Amino acid sequence: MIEPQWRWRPFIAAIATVLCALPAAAGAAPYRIGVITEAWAANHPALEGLKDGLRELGLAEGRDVVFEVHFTKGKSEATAAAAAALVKAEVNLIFTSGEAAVLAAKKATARLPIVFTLVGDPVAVGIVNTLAYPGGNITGVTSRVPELAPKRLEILKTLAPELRRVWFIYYAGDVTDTAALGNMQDAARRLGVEVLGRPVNDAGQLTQVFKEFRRGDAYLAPSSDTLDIPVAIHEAAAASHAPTIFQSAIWVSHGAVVSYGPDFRAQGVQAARLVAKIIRGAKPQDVPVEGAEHIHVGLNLKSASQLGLPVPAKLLFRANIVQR
Amino acid sequence: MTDSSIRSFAQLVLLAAACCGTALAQQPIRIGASISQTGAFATLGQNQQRGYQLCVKQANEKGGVLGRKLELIVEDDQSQAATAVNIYEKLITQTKVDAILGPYSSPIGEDVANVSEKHRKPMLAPLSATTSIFKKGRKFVFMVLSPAEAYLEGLIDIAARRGLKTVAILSEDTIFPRATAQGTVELAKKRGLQVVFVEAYPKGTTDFGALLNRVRATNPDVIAAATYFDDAVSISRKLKELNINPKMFGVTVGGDLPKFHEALGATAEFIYGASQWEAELVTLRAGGLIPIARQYPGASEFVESYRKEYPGADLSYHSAGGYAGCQILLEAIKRAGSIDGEKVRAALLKLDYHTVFGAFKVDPDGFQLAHKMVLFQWQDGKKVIVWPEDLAPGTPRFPTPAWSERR
Repeated sequence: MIEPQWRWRPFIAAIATVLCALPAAAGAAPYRIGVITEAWAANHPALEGLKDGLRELGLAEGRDVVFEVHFTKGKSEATAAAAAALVKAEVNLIFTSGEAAVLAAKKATARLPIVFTLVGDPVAVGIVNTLAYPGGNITGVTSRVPELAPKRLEILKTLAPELRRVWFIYYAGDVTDTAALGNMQDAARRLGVEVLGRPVNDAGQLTQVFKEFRRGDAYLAPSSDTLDIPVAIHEAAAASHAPTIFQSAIWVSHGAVVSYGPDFRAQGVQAARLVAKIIRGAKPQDVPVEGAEHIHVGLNLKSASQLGLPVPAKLLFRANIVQR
Repeated sequence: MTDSSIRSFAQLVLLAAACCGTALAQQPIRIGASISQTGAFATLGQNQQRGYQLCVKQANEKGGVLGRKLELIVEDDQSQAATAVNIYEKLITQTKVDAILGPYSSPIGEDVANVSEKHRKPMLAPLSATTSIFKKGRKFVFMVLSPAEAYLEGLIDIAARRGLKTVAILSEDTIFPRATAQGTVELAKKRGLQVVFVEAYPKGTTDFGALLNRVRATNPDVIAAATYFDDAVSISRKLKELNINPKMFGVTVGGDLPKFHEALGATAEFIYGASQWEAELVTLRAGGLIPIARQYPGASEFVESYRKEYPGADLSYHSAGGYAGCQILLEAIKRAGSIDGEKVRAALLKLDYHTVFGAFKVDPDGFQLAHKMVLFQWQDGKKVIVWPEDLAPGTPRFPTPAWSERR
């Protein structure tokens, strides 16, 4: 399979020549990119994708760009301190992953350019005016979470046709996941499943929610990493042998049975183009928000077999990432 | 004999049988091993032994296996293969142990594998990584480590991804490093790297000047050295002295030890090293998001209890490998429902299992297929795992700067 970032090569090569006039390449000090993610280490795939994308555009880490990375370990409240630190450090641009991170960056600065990834609906979240004309100092790549939610539910039902109840547990403060729940209801009726939406505010509520789960139910994991909910679901699903669909194929590589959504790393690669435009002098307000382009179906056949779920041929045919 | 006396006799026989059965059930399952408690391999052999001991202790605390307690019988082979062979012969034929676990190292494992084969006793060889041991048609020896050939897979993968083109490969001229070098040649070719230099140097080499000057003449992007500790240190020093500046330089055995950095100081910075397992793995998250502890189930409890049980003792992959070898044996006995060698062997061949050391699944020869190596880089005096990419909390400091450009 071609790795997603390599599909960009021809286009990247074409615009790489345009980037020769970049200030950083001319021996100036490297362009400083501050980073905020809700991950537990610095290697969030979106950031790795950004680095790869910039490298493909001729911007070498260390020489042309440097990164100051803050990761907040699922604590949405810690994003504010990270954003303040980056503004104080006077980085040239802030790159974010996830809703809480971009909201914190927006609150911290109306001046520094901000480029986001992994935000499901940036208009609903209130960080841009429109996708085509974002306005302000923010642009980025949207992960289209609410838009893709019905399809995600449908894929889960295709894999587990007997399914009647699906738990959607998410951080109550997350606008995107709240919108995704609303968007799923029509599809749920059509598919004959009940979606049990459970917004939670803290770890205690999260523990309580899992107690309601019954044999034969399934999970649909949220997009936000706040409160470490996707990991809690991953563990609960493994313990109760529950079919679970995640938002990105990275989970399928680590035991989840199925995923549907944009590749995290590819969003970073895509965002690198926007970052490069801004380095070149474009204003974020003039750089349209892009929808994530690489929507993948991920399947883990070993996990499916352990769950006793025969994978329908039509789903296998659709899958772009298959773990055997 | 009257009916009643017959009944009484029958009851007595049944009672005796029951008593006898209970007595048998209470006999421990005895597991024998030789370990290098003294001699050249003593340090690492003792780490392995602690792994065995802790595994047996914890299994007993949970009630043993098949309702029987476990007893571990360990003897010192003094790091000598011939001694180890005698110990295993004696353990099997005289002490009549029920099962065995392997010794430390490939050279000793190679000879002992003949003994386990002769007596048809399955032997987990958790600290033998030389492929040839498992590819001689033997049916009773099982591998736990990643093979020698895979040690530098991470180095080659990073080099290929970063667009490097040429690689020079050196190794000590002994069985294990030679296998690593050969494996690295194959990996490099597969990834489109040109192998511009391959040479093995005699064991005990201390002056690498001439060899490294020949390497310099080929101007490789990558230098990959299949080493032990002393040569890893000497080659690193000489590269600096001769001002040879590859974009990546990696070593294998020895580079993972804290004393490697202690011996080299700043010279160790940027050097890559291969490791079978690191205690840090249990805390890592793939992509900074997904905990990978599930691939090493029980590993954090293992690390905690090891440190509690053996305060101040060295904890290395040899410790975890030893523990895992014992875990795998016990799991196979459980699944076989028996200590019979043939049945345990059949269970081992079917196992698809995760231990504190990682994945275990073997081919019909007992050759490990599932375990994965990690690659680290010395960064600011610490080993930072930089590969496999999705697990790595850090990124490689790449390319390695020229000696003259280092601060």
